[in-house]
Amino acid sequence: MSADRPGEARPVLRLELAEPVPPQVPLGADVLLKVRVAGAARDLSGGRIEVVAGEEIVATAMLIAFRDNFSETAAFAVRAPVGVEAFSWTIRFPPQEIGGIAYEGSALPVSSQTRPHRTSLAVWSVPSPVRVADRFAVTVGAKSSGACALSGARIEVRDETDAPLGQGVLGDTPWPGTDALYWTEIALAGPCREGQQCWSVAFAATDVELPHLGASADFSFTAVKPPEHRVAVAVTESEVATPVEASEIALGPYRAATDKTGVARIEVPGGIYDLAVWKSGFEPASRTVEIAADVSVQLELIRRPKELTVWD
Amino acid sequence: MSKSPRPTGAENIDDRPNAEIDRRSFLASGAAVVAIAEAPAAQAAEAIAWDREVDVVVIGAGAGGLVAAIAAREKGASALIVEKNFDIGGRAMMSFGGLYIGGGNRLQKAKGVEDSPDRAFADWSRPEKPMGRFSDRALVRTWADNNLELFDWLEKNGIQWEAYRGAPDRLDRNRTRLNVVRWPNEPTTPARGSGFVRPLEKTARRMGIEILLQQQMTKIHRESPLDGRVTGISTIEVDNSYRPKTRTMNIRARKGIIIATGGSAGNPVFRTMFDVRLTEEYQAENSEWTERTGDGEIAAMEIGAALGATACQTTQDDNLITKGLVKENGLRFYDETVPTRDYEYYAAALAWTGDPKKFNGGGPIWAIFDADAVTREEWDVKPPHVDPAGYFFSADTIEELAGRIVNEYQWRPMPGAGLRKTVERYNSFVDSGVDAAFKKPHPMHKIARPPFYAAWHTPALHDSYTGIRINTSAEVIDLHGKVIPGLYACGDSAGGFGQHGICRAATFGRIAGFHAAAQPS
Repeated sequence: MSADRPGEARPVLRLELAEPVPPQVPLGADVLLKVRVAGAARDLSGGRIEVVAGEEIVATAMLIAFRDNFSETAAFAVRAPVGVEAFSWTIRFPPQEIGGIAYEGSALPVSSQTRPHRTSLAVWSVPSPVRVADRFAVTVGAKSSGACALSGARIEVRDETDAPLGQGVLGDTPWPGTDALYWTEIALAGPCREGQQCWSVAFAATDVELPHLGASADFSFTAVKPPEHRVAVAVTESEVATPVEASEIALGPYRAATDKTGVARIEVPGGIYDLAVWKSGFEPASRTVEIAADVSVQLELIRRPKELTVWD
Repeated sequence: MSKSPRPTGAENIDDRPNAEIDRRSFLASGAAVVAIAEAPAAQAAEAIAWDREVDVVVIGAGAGGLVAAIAAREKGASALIVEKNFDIGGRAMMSFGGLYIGGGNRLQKAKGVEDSPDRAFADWSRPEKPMGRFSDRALVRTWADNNLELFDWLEKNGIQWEAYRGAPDRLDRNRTRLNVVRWPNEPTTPARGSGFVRPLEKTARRMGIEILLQQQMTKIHRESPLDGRVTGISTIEVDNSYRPKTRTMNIRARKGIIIATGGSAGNPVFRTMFDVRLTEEYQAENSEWTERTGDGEIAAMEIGAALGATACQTTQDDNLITKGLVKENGLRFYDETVPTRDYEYYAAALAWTGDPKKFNGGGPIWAIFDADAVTREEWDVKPPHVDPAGYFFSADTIEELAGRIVNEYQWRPMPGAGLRKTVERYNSFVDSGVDAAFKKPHPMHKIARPPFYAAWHTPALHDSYTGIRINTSAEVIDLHGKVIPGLYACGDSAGGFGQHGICRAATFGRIAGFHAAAQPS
């Protein structure tokens, strides 16, 4: 049987996409297509759809549903080219017979452009404060928006004036707990001046695995002069007077945690400092202290009633 | 079964099962013309086929409703409770079970706490505090004057007191809150609220009060649309998700109807009447157990009820809880450590951030934190503790995290570079120890170690302090300042007293029950 029934015009089939192809897609990304065939006024389920790139069929799909006067495929993926380029595909309904009726072919050209993967950075384990001119290290991770392995790519650290200070090469395994954050530890010489520093890390545009755009991020720390005095901060729980272990201490820019005896030891240059203590389950406490010699400072923490919650 | 409510001012002929016949024969007689002329309101009344009749109908089986039904029954009235949930308890079930109740009771005396109704009133009507400033002081006085009697009455009806707890909070200066003993083995919640509602449920059932579960009130009937006594309610059976089924019921209330439906905090249309900023993105806490959609308020307003003390709602700090780090635009906007009752925080949180299609409400707020915070706080960031379907996200970098935040209220993608700069700047405040932007005291921890997380941290609605206007007898007041005869409201459904918790509900529930029982049938 054929569609050439007496007195019946051959239907002109029209191809459409449920969602248009975005004008830009990441290179190598899966582009999802859902193809609709309209104009048949009949259910074309079982019919074949092809996606052609150049001369090659890169994907096929089957029409599976008929509604609102069109038949459509499920969403199916077609992989974008892995180079940075403009590309076009032809979506084809090849001439075929469905349900005993022969249909002529129809085609829909689509085009888009690939773009390189983006990169983003994280910087952690930055000690602060750092003693002027002391060496220290930071950890830097880079993530590809395509989750590509960035092993072997270079990370550079620069100071405020953009002068390079050190570099590292991303290792082979992602940082624990992340999907694909490739990382490296970079050793650095401390700054020569005191005070807050804002440095940056940079990932240069590169073709590791696939083309990637460059990225940068800032990190900060405080540089301090050598210490002069030893400060022991003793933290106890109010009323019961027992030592509080693992409470966190901030003495100006200095950080420490209390040990089993509830004491944290910090070495600082003389001066007036804000002392703050924090521990989960307690009210934070703070006071101002003047350090002019080795000194012991006592601080009491008040335990928060356990049941008190904000929605109470 | 009675088919029509009695005419205004007529004798109590409807109490008898054969009232309808009496009415018909009466109307059929030559006296009918006179009766109608005397009672025009009756003409407008719809003919209702009552399926049930009872003296007092209570809508809602929470703290206020259970107390109201027991109080009415105690005074000799028959009482019936309809509840739309599949279990009793209302919001009180999820409560921590603390009551602001004092006045100088036995437990206070034992603790050496000096208290009196005068002191209680003074505390809760303090003008310098937003929470006390806008309350109807006549209601506050009534609460204070009822404290001692209520304490004894609750004990008599099965409530066991645990202890006055910790420090005074909210407006309380010396009594603090009295906790009830949790109901043993309550499966619903580990909180103590069960220790209030379960004993009262037991008492209510023992007294013969019927509790009809999964019955949602759909209408309160009045003799005429805006005049006369209330006559009864209509209900529809609902499923576990409050979806209406098909079975409906009309329940006649001979003496009174008490609204105890838990307030309107979960109804954005309703709550934006008095604070237009409280748009859909603000969820109502405890909604997992019970809805608070203003059912009672709406039904009462449809028959002429007024709202009371609406200023309470916008100015009181228990309306919104929780706080966060960045708005939808990736920017910080406040000191994150302010107490949960910092009203200026909410002004900032609810400020417009530029959505061209939504001018009210402040959009989502996200807490941004790192792997160190998870360790430090001992958080479990896996489902079911977090909801990755739009309310919790994680990523390897801050910029990637911003891109992953997709939520129906996030009207634009959060700019990744913007969030990175926010975090970098915040981290620099940790180095210096000074929050140069919002003066957070002692910023302690950087957000630096991957992976990174974004958690929904948008304020949520807590209490309703605006609701139906009531007088000191818990009678509902209409738009002209007149009592709607036979209609009462209590708990979060009643407006006018900015006191969080169970005691306000119990105080006015008890008053309503007593008053309704004393009404003529």
